[in-house]
Amino acid sequence: MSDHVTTTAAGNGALATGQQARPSPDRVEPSILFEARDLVKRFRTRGHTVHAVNGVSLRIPRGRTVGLVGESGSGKSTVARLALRLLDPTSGELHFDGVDLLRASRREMRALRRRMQIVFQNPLGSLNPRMRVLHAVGEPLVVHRIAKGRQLVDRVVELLEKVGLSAADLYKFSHQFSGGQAQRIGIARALATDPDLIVCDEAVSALDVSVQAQVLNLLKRLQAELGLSYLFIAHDLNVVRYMADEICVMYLGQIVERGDGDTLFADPRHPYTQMLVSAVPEFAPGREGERRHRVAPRGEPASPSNPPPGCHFHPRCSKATARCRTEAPKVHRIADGRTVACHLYDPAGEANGK
Amino acid sequence: MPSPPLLEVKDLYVQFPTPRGVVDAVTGVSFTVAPGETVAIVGESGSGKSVSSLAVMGLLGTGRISSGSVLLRGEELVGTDPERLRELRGTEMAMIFQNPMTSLDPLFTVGDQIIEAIRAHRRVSRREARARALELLREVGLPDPERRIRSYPHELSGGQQQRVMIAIALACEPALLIADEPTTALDVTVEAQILDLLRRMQRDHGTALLLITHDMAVVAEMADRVVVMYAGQVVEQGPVREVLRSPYNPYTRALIDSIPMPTTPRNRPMPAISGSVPTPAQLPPGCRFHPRCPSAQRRCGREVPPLLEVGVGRASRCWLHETTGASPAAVGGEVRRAG
Repeated sequence: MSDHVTTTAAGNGALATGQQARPSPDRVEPSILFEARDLVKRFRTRGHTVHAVNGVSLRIPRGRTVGLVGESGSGKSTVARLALRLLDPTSGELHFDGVDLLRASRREMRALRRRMQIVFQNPLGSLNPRMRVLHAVGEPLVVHRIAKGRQLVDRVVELLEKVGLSAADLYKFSHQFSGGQAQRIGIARALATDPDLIVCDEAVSALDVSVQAQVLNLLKRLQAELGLSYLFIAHDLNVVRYMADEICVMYLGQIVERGDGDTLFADPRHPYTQMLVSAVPEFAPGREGERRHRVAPRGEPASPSNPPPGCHFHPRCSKATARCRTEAPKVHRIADGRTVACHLYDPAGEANGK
Repeated sequence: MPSPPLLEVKDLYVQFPTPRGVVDAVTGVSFTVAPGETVAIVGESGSGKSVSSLAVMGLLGTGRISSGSVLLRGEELVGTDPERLRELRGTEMAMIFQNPMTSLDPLFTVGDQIIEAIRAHRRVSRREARARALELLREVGLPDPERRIRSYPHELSGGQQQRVMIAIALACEPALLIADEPTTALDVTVEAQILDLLRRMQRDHGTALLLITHDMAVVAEMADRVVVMYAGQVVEQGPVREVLRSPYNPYTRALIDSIPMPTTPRNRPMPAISGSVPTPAQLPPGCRFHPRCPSAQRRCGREVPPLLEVGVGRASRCWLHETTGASPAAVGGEVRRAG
């Protein structure tokens, strides 16, 4: 499974030839359910162009979770929508279970959509307030003609019970539930068509901390029970670390570093990841005042309508060199399952100039 | 002899009118803030943390303080003349909010808003106020202040807007700054910078900070003392390091346990609190946390536990402490005799 070489026009440069980016290894490597290659998405609005996604590649193995973490303008939510073809990419490839999504016919896509679903950030905002729970959770079953009548009700009750709700909730409206319960309804709805992949787009960000833990536990339990794969998108590094087998750190439309959560926290390599990890408020009740200061945060995330030339991160990077200002870094593999897109890791030699 | 507190909230009750009648958002809350100190009020939705801070500033909107007292440097604010409150806001106490975009006036430049804050309380010429505004923008680290002073809020990023808010709040050097979730809407790298800024401003001006947040890690980084609220009541308070390291209250403990951290084991379910926070209209009898509490006893469902002193400067609201013979505490007006 070697990665192909991309042209620099796509913005992200080539993987060092001969190298392979593998998903997190395990005793037996699970097969790849979903793959995105060199995804690019540009939006054109009123004269300027937003480079939302600029060359993103990732692979989601069956039954595993890939996390996408990043701040404003990172493009992570756009990647979520591209993955499900809720948006079409400007260029790049999408494969689900071996099927090329961009070449699939409308009928094929409809069948595939049963297998990929999404849970959104705002539980109350993403449910139709005029729909009772039975309708909200059952709608996918109706649309895909999976069940109707008595069978539909039974299936919805089964789904509600799976997420910790019950038949007593069938005829309620979403506003009658708390945020955490509404998110469970959203998850039940996503499970309705028995999907293989669920995209969780900031699925717990709007929830209270104690409820967040409940929903994370539910998601993990469902994954174990149903063999689900997740594309888990969040801005909270601690949450992503808990959920994901592999984390992709995004900055301004690109994946700047990839690796296992614990390693990223303990030993971040990309200057942006270092800044991100340092910035996360540290809950260390034993320690006095000052935080663990690895990299002082500088500047603010730049706008995707105006990405800096060369390496997009260079204006905020304390280690930037002349090369960084003009040349986009390639993705370098530094260990098993770890890649970094930064000139500092170029095995070919020093970053030129200073 | 410890110096008198800057802010003293005593047995505060706040009510809000709702279509279904009046609800108590805050019931019997007491806490103090000493000069220059940072006190964090932490809690989840419905805890009453924001309402408590709005009550201090007199910004409750439709809500009202139904009983209790708020003393700023010994002066009672509850029931005081609105003119006096307006005088105090800005000069003695100021507030910054979660979403700077909605708190800043979109129709006026950033400079005008700071100048307005200055001239509302100080007799200075517009030119002097402008010079002071520039100085403040520099102090809060806004890049290119000479140009930015003429910017409108929408031309600034979230982090920059929050810096402007801080500049406005500190324009007249208040002794107390109240910050209601000041970094919740910001990216984490920007949050870190804003928290650094708040610490620096405190150090340079001796300002006390009352920080409202749901984020325990922010509490750990910023606060000297913490007040934990649940469903309208204070359930624990004390020095930050002690409370976070060894909480007395089961809710505090469960809350801390449910936070994902770099050390949280990934191969086990997270310790989550079952159920959800009760709404003010649906409070359970007795201890408000008891339906969700792993240590609940029968008494917990029948009688509301008082806030008891459990150590030096530490208090917790839980019947479990009675069995250890903790002494009754005169904490904020609530005194109970133990068994």
